[in-house]
Amino acid sequence: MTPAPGDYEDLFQRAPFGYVATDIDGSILEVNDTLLEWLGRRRDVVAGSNFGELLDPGSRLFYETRYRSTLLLQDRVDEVALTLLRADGSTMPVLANASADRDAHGEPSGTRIALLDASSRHEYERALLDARRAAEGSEARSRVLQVSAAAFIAATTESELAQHLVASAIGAFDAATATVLIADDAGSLVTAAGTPRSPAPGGPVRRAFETRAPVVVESLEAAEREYPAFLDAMRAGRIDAISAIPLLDGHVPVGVLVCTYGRSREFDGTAIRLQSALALQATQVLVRLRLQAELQRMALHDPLTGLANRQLLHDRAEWARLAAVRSGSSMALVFFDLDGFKQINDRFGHQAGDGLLIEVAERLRRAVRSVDFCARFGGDEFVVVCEDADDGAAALIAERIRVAIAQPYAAVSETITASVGVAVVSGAGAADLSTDLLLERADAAMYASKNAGRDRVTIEVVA
Amino acid sequence: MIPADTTDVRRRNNVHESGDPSGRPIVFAHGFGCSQEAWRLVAPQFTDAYRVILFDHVGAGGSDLDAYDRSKYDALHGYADDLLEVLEELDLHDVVFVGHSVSSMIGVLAANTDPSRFGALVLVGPSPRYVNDGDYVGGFEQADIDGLLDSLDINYLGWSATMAPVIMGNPGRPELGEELTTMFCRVDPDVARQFARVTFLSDNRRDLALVTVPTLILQSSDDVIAPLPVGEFVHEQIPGSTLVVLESTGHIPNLSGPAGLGAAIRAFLG
Repeated sequence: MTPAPGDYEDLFQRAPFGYVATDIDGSILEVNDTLLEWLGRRRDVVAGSNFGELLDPGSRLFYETRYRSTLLLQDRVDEVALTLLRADGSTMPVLANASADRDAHGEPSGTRIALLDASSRHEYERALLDARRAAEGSEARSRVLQVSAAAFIAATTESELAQHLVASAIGAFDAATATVLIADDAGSLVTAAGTPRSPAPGGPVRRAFETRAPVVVESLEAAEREYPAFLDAMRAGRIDAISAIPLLDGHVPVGVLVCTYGRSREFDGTAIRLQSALALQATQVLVRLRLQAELQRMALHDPLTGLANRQLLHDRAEWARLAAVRSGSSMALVFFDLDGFKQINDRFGHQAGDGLLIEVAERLRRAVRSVDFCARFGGDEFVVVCEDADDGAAALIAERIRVAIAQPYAAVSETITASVGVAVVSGAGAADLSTDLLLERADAAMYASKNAGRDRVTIEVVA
Repeated sequence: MIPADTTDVRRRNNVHESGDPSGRPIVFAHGFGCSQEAWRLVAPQFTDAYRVILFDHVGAGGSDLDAYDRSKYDALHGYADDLLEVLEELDLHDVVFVGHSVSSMIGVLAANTDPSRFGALVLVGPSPRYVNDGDYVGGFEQADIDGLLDSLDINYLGWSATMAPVIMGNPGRPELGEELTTMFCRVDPDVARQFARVTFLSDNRRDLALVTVPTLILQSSDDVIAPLPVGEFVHEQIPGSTLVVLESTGHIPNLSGPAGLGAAIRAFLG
């Protein structure tokens, strides 16, 4: 029925939108029939109640915390999406426009709110929102993995890699702290990188490593139940939740990525999958770095004795010579050759010869100072680089080597001795000669020992 | 030690001072959903005798958005640390801290970390946990919080396109600056989303018993966000605290009943 001219009551009650007036606290003063019909509630129930109570809990939170503050401060809010809660329990999406009234002193005194049915628009928006969230979620995930992959690949050491993993985890999961623990040879987890305030590895971390599966502690209550011994550490560290993701090389655990959070968290499958994917990426690089290190070690070391090979020796000797030039202290090269090794090989076989060389290398390592550098020069020839050694110190080292080699061996009944030559050079002298020349002089000193009757030390001060 | 950069903390939190510089300091902290403007009707009631300090949490109002760090602000501790830095920066002692909504818990955390700065805590509509848990009634279920996040997202869906340039600042278009000054409770949508989670999914029940500062709890008579039983819980847990139920209803007495709120605070402070 068309309203009669001037029938404002009818215009209000039967407007094609819901309309309410509230006092400053949001208590409903007037409400029109349209809105009552939408709500399925009686006027005497709705009048006097708070507008927030007409909304579902989610939009009630939004209305109370965000909408009303803005409305009372700027007198208007427009096109805010809210959800009405009907008497039958169903919901109805609406768009709200509102204005605030002001009293004679200019202070806000009440509000008027118009509500438009937004059911169709809501469904479309809901679909849009879901699509956007899904897109943003997967985009964020692939971005995390992409950016991290680039950073991981650029890492040249395990520690650098661990630092990148820590940074990625913090950024991707909004974690308060992140720590990467790597297992050492004995299986102990050692921190490779971590943010300040990272916790000590404890129950959940160890479990992730041992079970090779992600472990999460979602709240202090969960910690109390599952890891009571870890609870104090969590409280002291302002930690409310933990995730621990094993770093797996195939099925072999090599470490753990641990994140902590300042409030309780629920970890869904997506979150754990992303963490695991990140951990896997890092682990693949870790394995590659270890392989590279192993290859490098193999390229520069003698496979039989594990001592440095001639190439690495040359680098180290050159490095030591330059260091001597810089520091001004003298250095020495100790060169020795086993006396009669060829006959041993001929008599006892190559296998016994190899065993003997391994034993010699062992004794050599023990005879020198910890700072000295031992190499197998080739065949039965060995060289030791001694930094910071004058002729007296070098003579002592050389003599210790000679005595060590001369002890009886298990592999062969024969006695073995060494002819030892030492070339010593001062820091000043080291500037004027090459490393090759120094090696030649040590070699020559060794031959001098050999020619003088073997099993002795000859020292030449080169410069 | 590197001296703290004066301008950084003040700028980061958009700190504003007014009132009597020699008066007792009173610090107002806004809740989720708004900025320091939420105190515009309350703060002036204290400028006669107090040194009044207003600030924005990082991510809200005129704070420095570049300082927003998702890792730091994923828990209320990040905000509490900022508050302590503001108090240190201004060298405040015997502070009256007035925190609305989530800021009441931020104040509790800060006061528990460094009680020496605080003389009194005024908690307006506090809730240590919004989500029901066993016998504890917070008033909401996890699904309701998800509903709020949906509400935020749906509302920012329409906004973000028009809001973004304003929030980002646009020096080439001064007319946008004009709009900026009339825009209240500004908050970056991404920040709002995370702040909502942190606010409504935090659990600070264990922190209440550790409070040693004299505390006033101001509870609206009908607050659907932090209902009376929650205020009573806070009152029971904080040793020696005072609970006052305000005449105003709703969750924002600072805007809907500023006179009553101001009077209750002054009555407590004596």
